[in-house]
Amino acid sequence: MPGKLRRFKNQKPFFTFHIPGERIALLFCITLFACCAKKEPASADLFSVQLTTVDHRNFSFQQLSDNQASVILFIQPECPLCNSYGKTMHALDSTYSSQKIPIYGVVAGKNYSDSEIKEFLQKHRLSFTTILDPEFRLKNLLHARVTPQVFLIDNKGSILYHGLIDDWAVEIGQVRAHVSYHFLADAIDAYLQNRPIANDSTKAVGCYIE
Amino acid sequence: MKRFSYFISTKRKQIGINTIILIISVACFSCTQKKQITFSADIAPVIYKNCTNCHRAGQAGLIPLVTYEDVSKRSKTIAAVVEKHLMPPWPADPSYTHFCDELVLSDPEISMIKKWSEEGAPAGDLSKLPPLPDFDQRSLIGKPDVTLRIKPFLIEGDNTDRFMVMKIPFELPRDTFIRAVEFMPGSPYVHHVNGHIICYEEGKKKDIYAGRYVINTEKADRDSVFQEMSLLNDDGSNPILINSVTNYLPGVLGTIYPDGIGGFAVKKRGIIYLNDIHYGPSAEAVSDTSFLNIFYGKKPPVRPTMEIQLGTLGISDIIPPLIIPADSVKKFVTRAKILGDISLLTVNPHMHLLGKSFISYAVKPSGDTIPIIRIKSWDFRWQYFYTFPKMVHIPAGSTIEVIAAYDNTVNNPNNPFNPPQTVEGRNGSMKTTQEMLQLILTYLPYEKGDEDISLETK
Repeated sequence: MPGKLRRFKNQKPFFTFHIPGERIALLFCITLFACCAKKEPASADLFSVQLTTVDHRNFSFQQLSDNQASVILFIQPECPLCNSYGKTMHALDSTYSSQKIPIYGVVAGKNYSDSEIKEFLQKHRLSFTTILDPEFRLKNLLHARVTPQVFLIDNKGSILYHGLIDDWAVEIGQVRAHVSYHFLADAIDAYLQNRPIANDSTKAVGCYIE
Repeated sequence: MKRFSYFISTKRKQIGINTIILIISVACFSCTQKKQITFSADIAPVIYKNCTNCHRAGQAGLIPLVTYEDVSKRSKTIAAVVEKHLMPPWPADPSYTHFCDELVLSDPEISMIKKWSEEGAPAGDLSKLPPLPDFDQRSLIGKPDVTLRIKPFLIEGDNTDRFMVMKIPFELPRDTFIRAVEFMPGSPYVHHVNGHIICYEEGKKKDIYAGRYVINTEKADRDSVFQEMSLLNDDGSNPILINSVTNYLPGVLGTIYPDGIGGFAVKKRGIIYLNDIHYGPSAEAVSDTSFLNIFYGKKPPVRPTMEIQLGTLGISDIIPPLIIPADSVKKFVTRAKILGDISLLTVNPHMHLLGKSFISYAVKPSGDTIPIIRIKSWDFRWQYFYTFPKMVHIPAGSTIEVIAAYDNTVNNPNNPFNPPQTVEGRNGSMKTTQEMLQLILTYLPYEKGDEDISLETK
């Protein structure tokens, strides 16, 4: 106890660097902070990405700047939740592609063959452009973790909303009996009507992208 | 001289430190060598034992977990679902009671899977993989005497759960004894099955093939089902009903009780009546071609099993009556006194979508309790018939108690009503949106030594 008291008396300032090379440490911390804080990708980063679609066509994300906004939707053909969401994805695509907000499916990693992906799209009657991201460039850029996970991106490349499609999904293998919150559709509608987006992110659940 | 000795001693120190570093790194290396978790040595045995039976072609687990590639490419997801205890599905609390074919991973197994995934899911020496268990496509418990097929059932691709009743008429060469009936799923979407046998005395039923073969229970009640399926005797009287001859849930092997225990006598003409066949949601239309294996007994059952149920449709009242007000979490109790000594073989707790937790135990006349089953977090999707590894003796005068809680708030993701509505338990209801509280018990009159009889099928 006396030791503690003595330290109190010493009145050392709270934040001091005692380690040698403190400046380097400080610099490192600032850099780390800057990296962590930079959550939303600069438009230049996203728009400079070039990948190919499942139909072997080149795809430049630059073309997203021509849309009013775009939805990037990470999917995996075998993910049970992605399969459950087939109908919802189809409905979102038909509703919003006509309002010039197209959906782009993204399959990241190398775990699925083109034919597996095409079969999944056919099964759920999904006609949106589907892009392959074998080296996780887009996944890492957007910090995508699981499927299904959506990113609503404006024509400048800023993320307006990311996370769940709606609150139907509870866990990898479980969906609710009722959907109460249509997070993605609400965000798109708010954006289209120039209203602020009430909820700009939710925590997506589903199968890990690996 | 002094300098020299100082120099020497520094060098010695240097050598000493180097040696220590070397020793540590060798030790670490050998540690990591020893501790490297690989698929072939460590992961495959756990996956084969707990997952592969369902996670293979044609079975309920839609994602195959058979080969190294199957498992390694999904290792993060597997680690996540086992850590959250979503898989393998086993609602019964293993710290309360144990059952046959328990699907429970130990904490060390879960940490091992997680660590393996974090370390990049190494294969190890795949030539040393343990052999895959022998998953017979025809039966998991033996060579059946008769196989009966359902009329192929088309599951529409509309992402909807279906709760059906189904009949499978049969004609055997003669009246006989059946030891066990095993249900084998013909589609990964078969979620669970509970089946009975209805059989007809000579001359009581002209046409066992008349009537509908399959009915959606959400659109029917019990009486109209019996009529539309033409299950009653021709004179309208009740045929012979043998309850719960087969139960199926993914992952649980069929049960054959030891020779002389269980089994039943059947007439040569009858119907296997699946009063509950639940199909999970499918995004594409698929056909189910499930079948049932029948195993004859050589002699009349010496100790035929008996079945009682507590709660809904059972021998005991639910207190208070099963009414769950909207926006409430409410507990109910049902209890029954056991008059003679019994041996419990199998128990099946049953609730619907609002179920939250379930516990049952017996209170002996002495006041001691015998644990039966505890489900801390009820999951409507996994309703097993739990068979004890050895029979459990419940002495005469004991009371079997059930305490079940229901969550009728918006916090229950399975709540079928939004906003919540008051839900009542109705006797005879087959609708999942109404509630039930049941504990079905399979038992025998107690005989000395029952506690030592193993009920493990394999």
